Amino acid sequence: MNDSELEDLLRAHEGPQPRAQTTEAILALARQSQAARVPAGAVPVVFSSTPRHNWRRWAAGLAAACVLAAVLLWLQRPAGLEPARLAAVLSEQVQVQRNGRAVRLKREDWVVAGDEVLSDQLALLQMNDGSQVKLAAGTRVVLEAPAENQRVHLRLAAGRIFVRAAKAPAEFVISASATVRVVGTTFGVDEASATTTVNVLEGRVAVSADGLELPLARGQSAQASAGEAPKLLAADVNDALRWAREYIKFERRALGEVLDWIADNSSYRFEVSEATRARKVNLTVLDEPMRQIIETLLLACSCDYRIQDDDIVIVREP
Amino acid sequence: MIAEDDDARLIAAYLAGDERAFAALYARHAQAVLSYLLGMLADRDVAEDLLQQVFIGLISRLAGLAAGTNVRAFLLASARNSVINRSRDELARRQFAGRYELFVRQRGASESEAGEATERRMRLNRALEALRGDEREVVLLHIQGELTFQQIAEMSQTPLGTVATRYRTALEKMREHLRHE
Repeated sequence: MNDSELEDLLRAHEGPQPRAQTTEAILALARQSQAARVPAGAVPVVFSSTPRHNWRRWAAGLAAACVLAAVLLWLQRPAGLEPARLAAVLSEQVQVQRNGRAVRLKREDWVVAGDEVLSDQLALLQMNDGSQVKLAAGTRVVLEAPAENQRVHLRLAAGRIFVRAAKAPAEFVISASATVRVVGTTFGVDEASATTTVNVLEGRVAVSADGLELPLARGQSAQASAGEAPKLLAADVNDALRWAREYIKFERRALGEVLDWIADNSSYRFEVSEATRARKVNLTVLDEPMRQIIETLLLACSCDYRIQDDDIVIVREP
Repeated sequence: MIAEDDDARLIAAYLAGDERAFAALYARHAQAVLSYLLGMLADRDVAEDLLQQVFIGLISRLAGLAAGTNVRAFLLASARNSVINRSRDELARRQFAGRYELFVRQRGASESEAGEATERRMRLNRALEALRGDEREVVLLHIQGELTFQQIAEMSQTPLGTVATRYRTALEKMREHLRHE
């Protein structure tokens, strides 16, 4: 098959038409916009801005649309379940126990209050407050309905979690043998043999057990068991949390393959020669911003580069 | 090919009060824009949402569009920006103030499409999905969007040669993929 034949094949198979409701919504808006712009019988004039007296009509229409959308969403909620905090599943193959039944979820499915999450491999949840929770393989965690002064409440039954809690006034709470409270920070919690271990990467957390509370700062680690006060540990938090931070490894892979992975997982684009793309590299990608990953990679390859927004041009190749 | 003067006539007619003119403009371009969005996102619900945003953007700007503006290129540039912004902000934007939703997203054809899609279209879709993101984009913009390489280069701020190379590479990869399916 030559290029022309393939192009003809692509052209012959057009994509689907938009759904009827999408089309109707757009055409309805066009009609409203037109009605606001040109009164019947007026001489056609091109307006460069909407006449001031029409903003009330737009505001009323927008308010009505918002109310309608809120009602439709409320009507779509499953029966018998209370509105609760949510988490989106960002990994493949996560299982939850829901109302006594095992349910296997896929990427971008939702978990809701009351679900017990079981991950047989590394899993990532995106909480609806913007926080992220990474679960080690074999971890069991229950998403509880948060209390009034809380935005998230997780009960860690067993295993390890790593949390990047978004900054917010209400508390992010993890209950295990001890209870961990944060308002915005990065830390890990391990639960095994009725003992909770907390390692703080950034920010501050409060660990409480047996009626006593121990504040922890960046780089500190503590352990607590039910019925015992929490105590500080002499531990390397970076080492303790490495399981969560090691995301993907490229060993002796072509640089082009690594750049393709970056391009597929971000909005960055690269300009680099085929010869440089073929170079072999070793790279361990940690849970950090993509920009940092790129800079580490290109420095390791001795490449000089220029970044303009999301376009990266290799200006001097090794 | 899209005739720009046809679009200009439809815009003028719409601005003069003919609501059927916008429907005709929409009919000329919506499917191509949706094909691009579906090809880049592989999520029908999100693609339809962004399609609405793109055309809402067009409606709000029609009166101020410069004479001779290529409407197809304008819409696809807007769609492209929406895809980029969405990819960048997807995690940060999931804020739900206590509302409850339970839904499942499926990558690829939606349930309503699965019954209609032919085997050939599905093979082509798989070949497209196997491409790198920027290669897939060039194919979608050139074939579905009917944009020239020059227009694509300007829109994406990429050198013309790079666009052409990506397109050739994409076709080679698709041919290879189809050969082995």
